[in-house]
Amino acid sequence: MANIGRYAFANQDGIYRDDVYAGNPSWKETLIIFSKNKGAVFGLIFVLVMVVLAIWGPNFNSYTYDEIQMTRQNMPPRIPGLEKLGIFDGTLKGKNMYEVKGAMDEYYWFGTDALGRDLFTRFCQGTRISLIVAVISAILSLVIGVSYGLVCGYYGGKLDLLMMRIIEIINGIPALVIVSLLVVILKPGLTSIIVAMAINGWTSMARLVRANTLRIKQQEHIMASKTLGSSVPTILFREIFPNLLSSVIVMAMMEVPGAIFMESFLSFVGLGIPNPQASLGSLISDGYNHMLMYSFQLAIPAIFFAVLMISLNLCGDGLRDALDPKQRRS
Amino acid sequence: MLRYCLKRIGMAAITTLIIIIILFFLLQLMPGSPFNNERLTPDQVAVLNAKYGLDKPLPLQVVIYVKNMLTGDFGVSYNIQQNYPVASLLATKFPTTIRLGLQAFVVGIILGLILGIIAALHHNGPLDTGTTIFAMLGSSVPSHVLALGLVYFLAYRCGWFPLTYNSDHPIISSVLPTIALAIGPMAMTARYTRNEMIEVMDSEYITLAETKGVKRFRVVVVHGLKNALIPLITTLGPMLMGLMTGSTVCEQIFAIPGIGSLFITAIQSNDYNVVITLAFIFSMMYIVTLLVIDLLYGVIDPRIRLAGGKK
Repeated sequence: MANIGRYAFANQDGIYRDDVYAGNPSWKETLIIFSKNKGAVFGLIFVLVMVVLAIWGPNFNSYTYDEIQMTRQNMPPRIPGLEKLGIFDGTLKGKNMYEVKGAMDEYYWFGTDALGRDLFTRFCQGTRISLIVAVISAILSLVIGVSYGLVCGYYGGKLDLLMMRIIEIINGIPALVIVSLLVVILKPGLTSIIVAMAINGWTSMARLVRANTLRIKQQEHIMASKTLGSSVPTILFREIFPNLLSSVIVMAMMEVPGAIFMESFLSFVGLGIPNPQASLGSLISDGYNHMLMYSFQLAIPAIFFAVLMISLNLCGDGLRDALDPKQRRS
Repeated sequence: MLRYCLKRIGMAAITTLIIIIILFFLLQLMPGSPFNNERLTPDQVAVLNAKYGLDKPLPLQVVIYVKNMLTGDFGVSYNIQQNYPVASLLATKFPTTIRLGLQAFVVGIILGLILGIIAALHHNGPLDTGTTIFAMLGSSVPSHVLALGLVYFLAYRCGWFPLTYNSDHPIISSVLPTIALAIGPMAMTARYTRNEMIEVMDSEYITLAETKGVKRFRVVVVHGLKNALIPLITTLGPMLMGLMTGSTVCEQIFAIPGIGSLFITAIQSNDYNVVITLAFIFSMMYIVTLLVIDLLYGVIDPRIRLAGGKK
């Protein structure tokens, strides 16, 4: 049975008969393509789990992310239930540290750090900060990039030339340099990291939007809108922008893992979120200092971080395939 | 062609100039000043300002600064090695970073090419799926997480490699950093090569070559790869960017005495002259690479230079 689009032609008993399938709205079509992509679905589920942990995780137990307990330093992870299986049972180098410290009724699911802070709560808090940084900077660079690109593409001519030269110059400076210098000047902190990342990230969005605007502005419906006397903002945001929406969403989605990576890089350089706040990057760089003695302090955030990056990329790829069939790779 | 080249070079020169001016103003904005010492009397500060040309009007200062940067006079280090010229500080660190970067780059590109070709030739087979998954993982997992994993398992647990870089044994101790840095370019190259090769191997001139009885190896490597490589050139820029960020962190992890770890030390000890100089060096490396990529692309693909460099 040949299945072409919504129609199928079957040859039964020598009679050709056409089956008509229900037409799906485009969002449903997108959903169907997306859910067929196993990697993307896995990615989405993992990202959602991380989002849940980021929002509610810090309340899952009674510890707070900045509570220092000097008697509970570097406790290994211990999770109720799993400890009977011989993993996460609080043993470190053959000794049950919970027995040694006389804390058999306490459970630190991911262990504690060098200051006795509960790493599970810190991990959830860190995920929250990392996701906030990534999402807000992606939204900011979306807003800047889209407006810039629309103006560039719509007006064209000298203005476009000048504005594109500015982008070329910004693109000539490596991200490493822009982001770290900006954070040095603005003093490390949540806001300055987000600002630095947005300043660095908007150029690729602007290029994408400009290229598409150049194409779309020649279509008839723009001409019609112009003839009817629409103002420029109306044309830009009501007529052109909806046509760009899917590729803009994909692009913004692709920028999120990049921003999370950049934040963790900044933490490693010492320009990350200042203590006692945590981010995934700062947890990794803290864990790195005690990596040989207490490897769990590094392993847990590092593994989650790596899987989160993979999931976000898988999710972004799946979204691109579903929303933007033209850009799909074979 | 000449016009295209000149245009590109001119653009790169302007970018360089603007970057130096931006760096100059960033330096002004940096918190604190090198003469923030309370024991200095106003007279002494005036002498120092005169010595460094800081008493002149701002536009003149900018000109002096641009001239100094372009002639390699980057000033002196404040904290890391007091009053030691930044240029000499860099000269001792630069070769290690370049060697490591090149090692990772060459290894990554070559392995990535091989992997990409194999995957394309076994399109939709298990080898192809394996490569796609590897490329996905390789381009997603950040190089510092990878480096930490390598250190923990191969160096600490198995003891096959030294934990940190040792300049007495440059080969064996650079194996792990090279792997950590090479995975990213390798994954990227493999992915692009695969996609391009699949497209190229489908085209009619390949069928023609095969029909004429050209050997399989020659068809793939000479006829196919040559065209598949063209789009790969554009990925060199982002790849270099990734290598720079990656090597900065990897140098820190492996305690490699290169410019990346110097950058981190300089930021942490507020040694602004060193920070700005390194920012300048990183930018220059990037600009030169972008320029070379554009020129190469113009040489290889005539459509670009005929269109006046508009992509």
